Amino acid sequence: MTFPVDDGRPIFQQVAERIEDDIVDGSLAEEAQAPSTTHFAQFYGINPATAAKGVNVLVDQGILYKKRGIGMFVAEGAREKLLARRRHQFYEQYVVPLLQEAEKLGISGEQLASLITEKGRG
Amino acid sequence: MKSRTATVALMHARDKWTWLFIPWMVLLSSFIVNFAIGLIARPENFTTGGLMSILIYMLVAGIVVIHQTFSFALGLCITRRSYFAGTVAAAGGYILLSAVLLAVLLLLEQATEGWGVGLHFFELPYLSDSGAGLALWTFFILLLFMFFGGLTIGSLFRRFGKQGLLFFFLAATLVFGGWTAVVTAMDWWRGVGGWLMKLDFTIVQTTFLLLACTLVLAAVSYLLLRRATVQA
Amino acid sequence: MHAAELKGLTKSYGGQHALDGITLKMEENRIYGLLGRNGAGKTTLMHVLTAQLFATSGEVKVFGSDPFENEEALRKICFIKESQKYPENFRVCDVLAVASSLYPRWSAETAEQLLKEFRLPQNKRVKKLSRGMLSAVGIIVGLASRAELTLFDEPYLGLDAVAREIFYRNLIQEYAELPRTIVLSSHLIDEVSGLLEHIYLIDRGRLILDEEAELLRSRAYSVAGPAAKVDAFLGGRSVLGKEQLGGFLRASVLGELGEGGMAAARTAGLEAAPLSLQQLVVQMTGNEAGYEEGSA
Repeated sequence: MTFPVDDGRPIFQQVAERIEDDIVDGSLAEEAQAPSTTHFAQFYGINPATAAKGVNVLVDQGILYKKRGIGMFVAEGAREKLLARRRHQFYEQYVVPLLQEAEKLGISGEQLASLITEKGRG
Repeated sequence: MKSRTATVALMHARDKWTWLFIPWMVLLSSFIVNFAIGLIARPENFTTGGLMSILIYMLVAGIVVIHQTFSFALGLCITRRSYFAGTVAAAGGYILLSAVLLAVLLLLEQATEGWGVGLHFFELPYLSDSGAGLALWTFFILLLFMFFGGLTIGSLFRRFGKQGLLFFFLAATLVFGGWTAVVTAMDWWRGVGGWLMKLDFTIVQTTFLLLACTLVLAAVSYLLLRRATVQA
Repeated sequence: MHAAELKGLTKSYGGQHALDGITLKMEENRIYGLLGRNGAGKTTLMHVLTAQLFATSGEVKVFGSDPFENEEALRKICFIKESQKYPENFRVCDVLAVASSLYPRWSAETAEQLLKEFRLPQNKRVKKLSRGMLSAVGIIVGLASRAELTLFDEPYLGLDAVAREIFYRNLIQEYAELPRTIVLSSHLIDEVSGLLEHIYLIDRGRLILDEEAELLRSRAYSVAGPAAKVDAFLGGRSVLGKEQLGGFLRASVLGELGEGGMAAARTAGLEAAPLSLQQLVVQMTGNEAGYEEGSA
């Protein structure tokens, strides 16, 4: 089982991120119904209470909203909200370690930039 | 929602092999053999000990039933009280049924003058012409007594294990052996015999004496089971 | 009210402690993991909890009262164990019929559904079943009973991965539909770790861990790298165990690594990663001397 990942992070947080991923890459469209916590729990073999906790994190952030008696739905503007947050996190999560490692290996800023543009072209 | 005692009784009732088929197969096969002997050898008015087979079987059933179902029932979170009550109810029902069958067969036997071959299979000693009612009662008490004898042995084993059972039989042998040795050594047999003669129990009195013994066995068996556990 | 409560529970056999002063409280409607090695005392504990064995000393309460000969309390418990005995002539349907009349919340649909999924022949005699099929019977009774307190003791001996999936999926389904207290004792810790909300770890009859599963996920970690560097990193930390391969050393450490610790390990050229529940259990119960709280 690849999920939950044993990286020390709480499972509910991983659940929330999993749903966020689906919204960001568009597989879970806005106003679409999110999987029920029971389905989520069964699919990943986790406790339904934990799955519910993960979903509730997103409800609190306004990413998901609850239709009484039907289930959870993706809020309008949820994707944009998540993208904005992810862009903000991108620098710290990816760029900073990249620069640190590059410095360790003696790769200059220009070399790094050209590596990225090359990759982008190829 | 049934009471749990009823569930235990119905649990036993599901096992028709143990309670009905096997004992009656044993009894009827014994009957058939004796009937064949009667048919071929044509002895005059013969009595068999064939009835003993079902009595012995009841003793065995009492021992086996605990072994078979106590752990199962406790495993399903049934109280020892419900288990005991349900077991007694089921056994009582089957024993009553068996006693009725035996009494009916006895009547048939008497009506056909020993199945046409002078075979007295279902007849108990001293009970040849005391009526169907008393025969039914006697059959019932005898079967019941044997069953509770077995149940007590089974409970003893459940409560104290193999060593406990061994110890009990050793103690019983010693006490009984010691008693007979003392009686023999002191030449008291005549006195004991005389005492028994003086009591001069009727059949009915004897059955009630057996019933009292059965109740004592039942109480002992319940007290043993109350402290019994599943195999750890 | 607690689903189960033990206070100083001790069970001994001729001076040997099978259970030694166990105190714990199980809340209602949660999933508990009862972990430990074979012979640690898990089965004994569940037997005492269901009044099938008697405690030598201490207090046992189920839904607020002593379970001994207590029909009201016992009606709410279903205990599925690997060693369950069945009457000689019983068929699968006989077992289900008896169980269904014992439990007030019994679900015939659940039983039916599981019979189909496990492909269990109803009319087969229980003693003729394979080990896996026998386990399936227990699982069906346990889930369909919908008992307020359901105990599963190694419920899937002989079951293959597919059948275990069936169990997990239905357990989650049942629990989501009708929450109840579930105690799961298992060797396959990795498979169930996501299900468990609270962990009890028993070693040699003693409760050595009583913790929320979520907290345990960051409670211990492992560091690996060149022996000298690892040893330097370990200074002052609470070490659970060490394994060495040539000059390479991997150590398990109790405590929160945190961002700082992670960074420190990385700077020292070491690999650090949180310990999975299974690894944690192995580390805490694997050594000869036994685990002592606070030992280094």
